[in-house]
Amino acid sequence: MAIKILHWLCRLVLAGVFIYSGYVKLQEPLQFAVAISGYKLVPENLVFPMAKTLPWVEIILGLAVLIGWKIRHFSAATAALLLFFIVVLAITISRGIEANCGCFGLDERISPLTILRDSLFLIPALYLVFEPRLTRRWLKTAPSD
Amino acid sequence: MIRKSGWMIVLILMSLIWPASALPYDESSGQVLGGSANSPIQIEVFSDFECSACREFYLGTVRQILQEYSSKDKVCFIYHEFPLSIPSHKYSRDAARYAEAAGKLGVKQLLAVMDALFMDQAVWSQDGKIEPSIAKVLSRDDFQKLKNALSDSNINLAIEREIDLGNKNQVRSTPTMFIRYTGKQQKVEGVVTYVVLKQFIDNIVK
Repeated sequence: MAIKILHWLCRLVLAGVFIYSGYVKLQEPLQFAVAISGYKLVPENLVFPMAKTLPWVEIILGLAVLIGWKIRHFSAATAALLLFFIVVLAITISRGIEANCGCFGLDERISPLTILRDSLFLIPALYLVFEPRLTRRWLKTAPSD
Repeated sequence: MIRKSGWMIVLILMSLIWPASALPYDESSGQVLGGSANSPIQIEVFSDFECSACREFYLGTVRQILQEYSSKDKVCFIYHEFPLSIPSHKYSRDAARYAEAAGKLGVKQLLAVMDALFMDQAVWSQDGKIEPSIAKVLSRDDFQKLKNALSDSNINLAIEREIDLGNKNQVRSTPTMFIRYTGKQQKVEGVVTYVVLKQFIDNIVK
């Protein structure tokens, strides 16, 4: 039962974060494009296509995790995307660029806290990827009646 | 079972988040730089002549958009004065007054004055001597008319109206754009480069 609750909790958190984040960006693609531009990592002609595509990628990943279809694969994809975001944030901070995060809206400046938050989102994603192995181990070590 | 519940949650979420759309924008002031009410895209920008990001946006993006899209009536560009009341922008309201007065003479004169104000930003923002920059780009006759227009109290009222409009629409920094197209509206804060804005516009009007 506890494993089932943990499984659903991870799915709901991960799906909620990705769907919400994608939805917010989808509502304001140009503002998101400005945010991407601010990172100074992407060539200008790729900024808008990226701003249009990335929100859909996030929404599809979120929906797939929520539905549970090929959950390990899609959880791995969300983990990979989160890792990508973390690397981009770290590079931008280390370059001393004061960019707008563009993560969940307009107002957030990037900071080490943004990296910490994205790292926390990695936990449910990685749990879902390694769930079968982890539950096997837990069931083995659990005291039997 | 688990997959079925997942689908149900998806459907509930979709119904909750999908109908969102932008609110209509209150249009009551501003100076039209190009395009017309029939243009499929309307861009309203709130800007300050003493702000460096506004300079970058105007010289790098706005001028090209006016030339490439507004001249073909694809984009209606409306400019709103939004001089920020901060100590480092001592002369931005004065500059806004010159631009507002130039607008009374015509779009050509307004654009010439805006060009001059942004081009010479580093010069006049030092000492507040705006007139020499403007005198360079207007004919003697127009310059005299502009000076006469400056004494009109309506100039200050127009600027106040635009500031009020900006505040009402939660303009917190400059430049801030509101873009309306096909019944939607987007608010964009910060500098949008020409390449990005062009791709966005091309996506709507081919």
